[in-house]
Amino acid sequence: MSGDIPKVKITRAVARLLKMIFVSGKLVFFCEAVIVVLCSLLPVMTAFLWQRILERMDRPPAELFVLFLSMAISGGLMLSNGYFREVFDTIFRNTVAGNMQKRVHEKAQRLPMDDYEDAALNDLLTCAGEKFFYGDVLGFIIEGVYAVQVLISIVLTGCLVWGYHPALELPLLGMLAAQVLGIRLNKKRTELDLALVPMKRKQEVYKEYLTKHENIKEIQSLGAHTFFREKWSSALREAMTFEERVSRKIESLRAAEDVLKRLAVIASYLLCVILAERGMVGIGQFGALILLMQQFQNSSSDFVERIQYVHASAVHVQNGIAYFELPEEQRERSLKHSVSEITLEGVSYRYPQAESAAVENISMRLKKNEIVAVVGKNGSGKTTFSKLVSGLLVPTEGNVYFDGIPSSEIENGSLYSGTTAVMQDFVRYCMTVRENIILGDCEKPVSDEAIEKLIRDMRITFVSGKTGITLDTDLGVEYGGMELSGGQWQQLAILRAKYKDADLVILDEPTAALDPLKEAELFSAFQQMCRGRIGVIITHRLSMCSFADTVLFMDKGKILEMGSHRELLARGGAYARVYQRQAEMYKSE
Amino acid sequence: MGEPLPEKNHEHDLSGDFADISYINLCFEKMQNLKHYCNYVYCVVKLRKNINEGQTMEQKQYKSSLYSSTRAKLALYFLCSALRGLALPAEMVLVQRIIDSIAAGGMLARRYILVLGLVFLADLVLFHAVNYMELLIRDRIEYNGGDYLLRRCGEIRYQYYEDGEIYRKIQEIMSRYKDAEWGRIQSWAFVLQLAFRLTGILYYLILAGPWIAVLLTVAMIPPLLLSMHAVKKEFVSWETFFPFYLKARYLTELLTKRRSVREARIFQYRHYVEGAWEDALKKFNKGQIASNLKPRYLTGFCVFLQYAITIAVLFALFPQVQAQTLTVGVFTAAAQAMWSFTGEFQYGVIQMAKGFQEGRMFDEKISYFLSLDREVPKQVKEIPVFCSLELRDIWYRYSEDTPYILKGVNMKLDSTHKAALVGANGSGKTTLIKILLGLLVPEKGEILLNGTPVTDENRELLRKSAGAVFQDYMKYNLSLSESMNLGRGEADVSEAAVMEMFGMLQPDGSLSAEMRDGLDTFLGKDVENGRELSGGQWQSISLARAMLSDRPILILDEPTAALDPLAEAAVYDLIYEKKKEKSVLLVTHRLGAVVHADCIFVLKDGKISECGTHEELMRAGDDYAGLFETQRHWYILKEEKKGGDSDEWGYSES
Repeated sequence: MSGDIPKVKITRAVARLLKMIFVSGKLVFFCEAVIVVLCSLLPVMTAFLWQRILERMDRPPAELFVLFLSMAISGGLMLSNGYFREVFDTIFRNTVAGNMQKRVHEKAQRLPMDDYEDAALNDLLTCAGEKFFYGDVLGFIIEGVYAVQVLISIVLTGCLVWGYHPALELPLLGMLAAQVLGIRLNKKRTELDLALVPMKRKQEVYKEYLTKHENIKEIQSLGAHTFFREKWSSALREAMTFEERVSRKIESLRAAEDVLKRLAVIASYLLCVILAERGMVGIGQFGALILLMQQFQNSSSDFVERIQYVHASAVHVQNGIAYFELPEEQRERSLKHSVSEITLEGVSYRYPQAESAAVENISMRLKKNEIVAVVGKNGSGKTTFSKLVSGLLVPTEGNVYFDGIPSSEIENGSLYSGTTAVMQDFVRYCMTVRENIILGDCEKPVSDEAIEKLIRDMRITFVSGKTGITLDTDLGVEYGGMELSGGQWQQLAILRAKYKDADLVILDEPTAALDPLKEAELFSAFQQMCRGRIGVIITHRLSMCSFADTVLFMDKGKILEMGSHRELLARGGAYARVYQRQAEMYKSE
Repeated sequence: MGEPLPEKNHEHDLSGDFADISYINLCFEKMQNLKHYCNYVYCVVKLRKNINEGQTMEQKQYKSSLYSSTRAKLALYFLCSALRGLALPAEMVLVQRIIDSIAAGGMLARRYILVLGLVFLADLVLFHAVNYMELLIRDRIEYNGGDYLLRRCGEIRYQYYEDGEIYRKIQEIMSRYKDAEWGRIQSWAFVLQLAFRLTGILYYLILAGPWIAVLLTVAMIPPLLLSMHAVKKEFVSWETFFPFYLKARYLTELLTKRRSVREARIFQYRHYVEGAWEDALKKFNKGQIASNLKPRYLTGFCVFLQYAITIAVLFALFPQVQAQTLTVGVFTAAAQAMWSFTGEFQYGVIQMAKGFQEGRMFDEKISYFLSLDREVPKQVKEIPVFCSLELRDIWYRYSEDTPYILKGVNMKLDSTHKAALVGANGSGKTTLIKILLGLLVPEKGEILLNGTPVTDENRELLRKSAGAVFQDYMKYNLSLSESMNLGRGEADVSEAAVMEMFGMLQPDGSLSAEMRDGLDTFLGKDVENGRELSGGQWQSISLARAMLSDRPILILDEPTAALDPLAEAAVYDLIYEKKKEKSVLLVTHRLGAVVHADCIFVLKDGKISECGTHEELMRAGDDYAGLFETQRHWYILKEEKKGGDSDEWGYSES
């Protein structure tokens, strides 16, 4: 399935979207429809009432009271409905879009992990889902609804005007034509706008050098502040000169656009006047016409703007629907509770779009109560191996059997219920310390004593009264929490992995960010974590292999050497040589 | 009733100190009776006055630099915007004439239409002129303001950047100074325009009857106040609930983004995170409904009300039309003008109120920023020959309510010494580096450079003497020659020297090969389409810059983290063998790399717990020896078990 990005036809995408909206909130859907129709009636109704008033100039005011009152209500609503609509839009977003977003969350858990490795799908996966609630799909819906509303009132205006005099359709069409011409000019403008982007980016980069926390220490210690300020200012000046030149063009294009539109308005006024002068439309109709023309001008440009937005965001709807239509994993079987053996048979894995396999033809057996250490250079396939063992990736060739059942057939909940891991790129959750730990197993009833005991057992000291970090401390500076060091984050990841009871423990470079002392301290903890389980430890530090039962020395996706630490050293092959080099640094003179 | 207000003597204390804003806020929160209210008003007035007077010399300077060489454009901009305000009254006049002429059966209407066309055209020209001028002025503000503020960013003390709160303010200022200032200008332009429009409308209303004009004006005040109030409320509380939105978005990303999706599966935490997501959204919505939508409601209601009033006025005018004391034209024109006015008016007022409000809040931030301590660097002509750098009893903490990070550090670096600093995570190494570099000023204790104490006066000397390669080294988007010459006082480095250095750092020649255009090679992809390098290559670039610099002291923080073993060995070779003239302080966790250092400092609990050569420290058998043993242990564990032939590994003596 790798390679091409699935495309969905726009008509089908919109149809599916409508269906989703309908399913996600029937009541809201109907309310919206009713409101759209009512709102689209308001402008025409107001103009009609005004015509009536002007036609009844000679009646006693009391007779006109009802007309004035309805005019006040309909016109008032017409002007103010936008403000009320925002309230409704919020309700809409919370119910309908919220429900759709939940379906996205669910979908994300059902996609094959391969998809996340596929560069071609990357965009779809990272952006499409979010757009439902936070971005353009929601925009598409809201703007689309407004566009429909405006369209109805444009058509109604046309009907009303036809009743006055058919010739009056001409100026209306003229105004629409001017708008459409405007779109073409607008396109040209967008191109110019785009040319500006790289220019602006340059000065942004230099500004960041000068103001961002992570940069300032180096800049200040180099004494390069002035240098970069001058860089910034020349980059900005360059961008400004360019922008001013470009925007003269842009502005004249805009002016041309406006002249067109205004000419259409003037022409239509002229036509009205001529018809009025010839007595073809009455004074009341004329007054209403002036009003209608003005509204028509506004609503036609409104319509065009919204349609443009809808047009531009349609691709996000297509992507969003394509996202929902991505094939899901077909996994149905479930495991009996505890896994005691994982067998790899001729397992190879090639990443989507990759030229060669990341892991090639591996066969081995992982048993309960045994620790396997995987070592090798960067890019030798260690992490891929661990993903295959955990069932996250399904091999492209061969099979990984969990107690005899291929991993590709085991249903997610059951597959992962017995697995815990410290990932190489562990996640730094911007949540509380407690949440960072209990995310490891959310089913477990939360007990602070248990968590605190765990922290004590693992001899993790930074969560204590002394440092001011408690279980309730919010973490992550982006969301207003406290920032931890890389090592501290990693210790939390280790706690999280330990918090979950599992049959399979995978530790992928679990100490990369830790200082040697901490690393040494955690050593025995790792051993203990793997005890009675299937343990896989990935490391670049060969010294860690000493406590493993089996060592896999990987190179270019293949197993170069396999055996116990002692066997491999005795063999004097590649493993022994690398080991020796690392040990050499600790040779005393 | 209530808690007593903190006592504060108005006469003396409100000398324009900005700390008083918090006092005022306190007064505001606790406002329970008339006395408190008076207090509040008094403080605000006094503070306003002070803001306008003494304290803000700095701010005045900033403001005047902001508008330098744009005053004429600004004046023109205001003029044009004001003139645009005339379009609506002109349109009204013409519509009135047109209708009257049609009602009278005359043929003048067409001419008026043409005039109307001209008015449109003039308005259009003005509109685009205003737009273009807006661009010019905005650019100017961005440029002038940026220049002034960035200069300040370089002058304020480094420790402000370490303070989250201040740092956030700086970020906000740098990203919004242009918009905040522009918002205010726009609001003023709107006020001018509004004045013209109102005049036009009032003219018609006065024609119709002065009492109506008065009535309508009075009737407009409550909606106006109401929407102003709404804006203020919206503005203030946005900050309190918007974080929940960000949080919700973050939680969504956890469930859908690649970087966390693996853990999401392994730990199966979707339901938990989704619960938190719903919770955050609920809070966001609650806040939004209370402070954002209610005002919106109110505004909508105001617009409705205003329009209803307009219609009521028209209804009241109706008898006059019938009595023909008022022409149909005036009647229609007034109706239409009020029509288009009502819609724009509320919207405009909200924008205007926002602009002013934002400008005012921003002013407070700017003046706070401008009041931060500065250290204007003194020019250093020559870097003296380096003999020694000594720290004596250095104490440091980031703020008064956090514990000390450094608790009396003593250490001394000599010229040509290769020293090393080791210590556990969080032992204060980074802080110590920043102090050695002269970035942070110690709270207590002395730094001696060549035997002379470093003070505010000569800190620049220290900064110019010590260079660093940080753990999170920067990847400058510059040409290679610019990058190599950063921070250099004297003549530029030659291409030969750079290439030689690259050859030493990456013995396989990969780095030199990367530089296709020699010194003109542009590095980094962010700015121009330059060459993107790997992490290791970037680190080598940083190392090369430091090695080639004229600074006698180099502080290298984990300088080989991104390098492969071959390049790593080359770096240590360079430090210990080839570049003997530099004094180096190597900071690392990899104890194998510090064995050859002349002096090893062990930082523990904010103090130097041990120092000496590797042998001395091993003999002493304290923390360092323990640490070293642990690291080495891993390599000998099995060997010793095997039968103690550790001689082969050279570990026999300890």
